[in-house]
Amino acid sequence: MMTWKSNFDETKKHYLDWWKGKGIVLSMWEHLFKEGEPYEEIPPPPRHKDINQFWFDPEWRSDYLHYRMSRNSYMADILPVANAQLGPGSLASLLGSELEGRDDTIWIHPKKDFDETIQFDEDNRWWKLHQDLLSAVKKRSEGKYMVGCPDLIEGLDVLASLKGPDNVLVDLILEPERTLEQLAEINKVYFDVFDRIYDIINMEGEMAFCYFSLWAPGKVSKLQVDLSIMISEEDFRHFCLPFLEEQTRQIDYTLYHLDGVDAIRHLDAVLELKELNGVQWTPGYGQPQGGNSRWYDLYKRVLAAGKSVMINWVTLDELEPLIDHVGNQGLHINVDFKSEREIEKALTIVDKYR
Amino acid sequence: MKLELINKLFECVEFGKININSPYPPQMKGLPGADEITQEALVAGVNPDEILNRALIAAMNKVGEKFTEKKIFVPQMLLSAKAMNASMNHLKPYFADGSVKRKGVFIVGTVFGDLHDIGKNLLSMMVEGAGWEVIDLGIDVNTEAFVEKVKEYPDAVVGISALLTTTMVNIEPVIKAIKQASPATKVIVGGAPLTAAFAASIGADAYGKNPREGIIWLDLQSQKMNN
Ligand code: B12
Repeated sequence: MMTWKSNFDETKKHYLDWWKGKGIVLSMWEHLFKEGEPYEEIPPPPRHKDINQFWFDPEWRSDYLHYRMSRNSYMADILPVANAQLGPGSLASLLGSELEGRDDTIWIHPKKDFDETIQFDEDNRWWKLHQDLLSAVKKRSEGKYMVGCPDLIEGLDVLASLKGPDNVLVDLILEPERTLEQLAEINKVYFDVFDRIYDIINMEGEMAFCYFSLWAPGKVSKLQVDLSIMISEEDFRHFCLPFLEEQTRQIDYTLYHLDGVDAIRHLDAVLELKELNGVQWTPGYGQPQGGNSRWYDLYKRVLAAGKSVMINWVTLDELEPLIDHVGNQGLHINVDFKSEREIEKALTIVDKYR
Repeated sequence: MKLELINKLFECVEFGKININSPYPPQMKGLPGADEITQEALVAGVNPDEILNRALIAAMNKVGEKFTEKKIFVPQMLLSAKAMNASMNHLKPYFADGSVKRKGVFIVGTVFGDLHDIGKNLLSMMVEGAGWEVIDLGIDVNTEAFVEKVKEYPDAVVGISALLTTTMVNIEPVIKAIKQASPATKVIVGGAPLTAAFAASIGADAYGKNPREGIIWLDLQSQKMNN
């Protein structure tokens, strides 16, 4: 099936190389509109009735995504992936948290009367929504683009969405055994749900993720423990590493999302994950973005450990110095593109190093 | 004897030993915690004022230092705060009858639109541990809720937290409304995306990068008010 991305074969080669620590992928965070005619004249859906329709109505949202996808630019390695995410950490909603749509994002509220059991209820309405939404988008796409896997999230972050982060943190100390059991249970549900989502969204076995511009010729996911900025290295090894390791073993291609300066403490542990393919860096507040020279050594550290690296929010003028210093092997660079002209400029730079 | 109890209580708060049944820290397993030792101290005639100042405030100060130096992390800090609270519960009658005075009232909340509360919770625990009465309005707090509390506690100082670049701008209307309702009320703001310059630009009286900075400024306000 032909997608709306005419150079997808070439992009796939870039990704295949990148997963093996070679070459450069040049992409962006989500999309910008293309110039000129859309790929097909798709009418926009009528304005959404309310915010619930905007996020939670599979028919409306698939029409809307279809319209948007027909007008996005897929130049360079920008992926034709429709983002049908249901909030950061939507796995929690399958375990009893409530989702609430707001203008800019979906909020996840802790489970009321959480009794410390991790239970995946198949009749849960949010699980039905996950399936209905992904199926509707998949159907609407008719193979013209891929459907990105929602940002399910796993581990401590999901436990925090269920019972509140303070309670999770205290229980690392007061209830360590129970916490480990809960984390094991969360991983079980995660793999179950992940596989079933893969069955819906995969395109001839290939898969894409909703954010982070991720594609792979098999199962792919982003891994994270954002809560790790609040715990010791010792606790990270005890409560996070074993579950991450299981994920890297069960999922073909994995990228760890390292978020914030306070998370760098855990990088050594992350790099010990044998089957992990790459590390993505988010600098956080008050810090320069990913293209800044301050982070060159961090990237070199990741590459030296045999992992690929993903660098976000790079500006055009940072691009060349970045590759000069970090090298041209194993980089996935997401530039903060504002127009297709900028993509062309970035391509002339990157092509010199390919 | 009295000194020994104060030292013991200090240790319980520093290491997060809540009560005799709490398994943490392992080296204090089976021993009485902040809960029991406070009761024992009160029976032994230790002045509640001393319990507050020489044990609780002093220990939380040390905990704050260790946290800033990254010797301990949020879980350990939360347990220290729990131990402090277990002790503080026994001091409540003395606060109520005025025999022990706190430094002032601190009204705190995360601004509307924002659900992040870990930083705000740490702040309120530390401020309470520094000897203030804390009224925590929670997360996603709208302007009216702040203003209402300020009217109820006209001498209080207000703290507002925001963790998102999209919600830090919500602080400005809250400060305006607070100042309109009560011009003398002082407001301190904080949270990762904020800066001192931003705080000044929205009419805040102070900015705290962390709870320690906040407490230093708060204690100054308390001195001014009590002079
Ligand atoms: C935990 C977390 C969450 C949890 C929050 C749980 C909770 N109950 O708090 C959940 C999962 C719910 C969450 C949701 C979201 N989050 Co969030 N989250 C974080 C994370 C990982 C940690 C924040 C934290 O708690 N830090 C630890 C505490 C201790 O630090 P702190 O809050 O800064 O507080 C300290 C100081 O600032 C100070 N302080 C704080 N307040 C005050 C006030 C005063 C008066 C003073 C003196 C001092 C002070 O004292 C504290 C102790 O030292 C950060 C990423 C990161 N690495 O920081 C993202 C982050 C803050 N989140 C982010 C985003 C985008 C979101 C969402 C919008 C995601 C989404 N798409 O839905 C939602 C927003 C929901 C909402 N409307 O609020 C972004 C914000 C980006 C931006 N520029 O705005 C971040 C930076 C992640 C990222 N890298 O993109 N998040």
